[in-house]
Amino acid sequence: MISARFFRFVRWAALVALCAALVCFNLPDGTTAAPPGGAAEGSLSDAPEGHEPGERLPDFALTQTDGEAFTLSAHRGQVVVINLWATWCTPCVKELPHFDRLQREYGERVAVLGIHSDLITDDVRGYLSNFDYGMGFAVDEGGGVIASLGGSTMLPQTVVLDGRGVVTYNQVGSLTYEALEELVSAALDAGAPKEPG
Amino acid sequence: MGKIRTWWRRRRPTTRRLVQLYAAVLYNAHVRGFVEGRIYTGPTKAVCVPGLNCYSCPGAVGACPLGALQNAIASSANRPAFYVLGMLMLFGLTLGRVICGWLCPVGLVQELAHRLPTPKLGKNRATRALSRLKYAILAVFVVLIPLWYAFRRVPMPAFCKYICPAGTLEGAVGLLSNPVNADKFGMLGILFTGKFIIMTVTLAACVLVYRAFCRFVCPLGAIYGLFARIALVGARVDEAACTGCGACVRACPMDIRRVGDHECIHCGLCVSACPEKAISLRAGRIVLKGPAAAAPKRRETP
Repeated sequence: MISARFFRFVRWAALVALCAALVCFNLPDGTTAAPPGGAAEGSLSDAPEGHEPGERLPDFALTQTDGEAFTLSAHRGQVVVINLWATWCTPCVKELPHFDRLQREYGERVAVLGIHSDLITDDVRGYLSNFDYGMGFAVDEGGGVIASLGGSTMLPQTVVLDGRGVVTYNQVGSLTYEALEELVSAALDAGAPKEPG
Repeated sequence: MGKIRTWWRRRRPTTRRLVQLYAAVLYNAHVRGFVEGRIYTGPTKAVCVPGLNCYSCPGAVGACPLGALQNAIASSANRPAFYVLGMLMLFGLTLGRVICGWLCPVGLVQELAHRLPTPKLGKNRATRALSRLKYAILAVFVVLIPLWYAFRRVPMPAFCKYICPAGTLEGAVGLLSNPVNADKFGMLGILFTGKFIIMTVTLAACVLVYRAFCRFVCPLGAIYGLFARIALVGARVDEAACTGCGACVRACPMDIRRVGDHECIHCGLCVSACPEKAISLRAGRIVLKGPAAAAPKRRETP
């Protein structure tokens, strides 16, 4: 037999827990505002920093799953294709081979990087070890790089940068290999050094 | 004044309704998600809530056990699904389908839809036969298809992807109704159209048939139903007092054969329907609702 006092206690405890949850989950987070971009020294473009087409993506560095570092600024002169994906995202997993093929076909002209979502439900390295992908992969556990790309949990998302590090494409949605080729050739054209005058 | 009091006495929510509402709000405590049109991805998202609650709902602070199960099966080629299976067993062994009746937000939505004043379709032989459909859906869409694709390295949460109306309502409609996500309409295709139709049909069915989704489709209820005989909490019949009159089964809106079986959601409706006062809701030997319940429970019926 449960006493009335116990029921009353449970009711109050439940109410307090609910209020605490409502407060905790809705506290404003102070990290949403992106830090203003530093001085763009050595930059090939005077485009404003950002992740929209026409803007220059802020530099970032991630450790790849093969242990090597991926630093964006080290790839100036190359077209950079960044694919945001996740092991739990069916369309992402299905389009990964296109990105791998892109890397193999274009070689040094293009750097392809797959960044796994910060929502990790599986062993990403273990998953990738089932394949022989030639492109680079990194996990952005903090989510900072994904945020700087304008990424969210909506996947897949692809970002293409020209040789100057300026965004030429940034959209959520699956791509075919042909569409990827078009995006890359447009970025190759956009980033080509123009004749002065 | 007296009119209001009578209205309130007739309309005031039952304990069960309050618990259902409580669970729905607690599972979806990330209220700012609805305002900002984005989902919560913090640490508590790894914890399964007991009821069916889409983790793509902007408010969801935990994981849907059914979605988590499918995803765990989908990656079972890399690591076994111990965590989710353990959570499901824990929920099943302690509460079983009490979760369906008391802690499921989708159950709450279905019950509220059924309160709309329209002609209703009661249970019959056809609904009882249909209630077996959920076991087939569990086997095919939650276990077999994800498992089949798991060994092809493709994550395939087939129930979430092709059927789940709760996912369409909470996840898709919840996110798309926010103007922030207006640019996502271009991504919608045949999958969304199909699931939107399923959701609309399900909601319409729930208006006419009590808990239509829960009784015929929900694989999570099917899983918890497997624990019917061993769950700690649930409706129990005092065999010594029972005369076998069948008043409980007739009063029950679910497709049960006897109180506390795998179709029973332990809502407690039969407790007051039993002329012999032989039924009670119990947690082990503790009576939660019923003839031998504690004093405050009895005060509820004036």
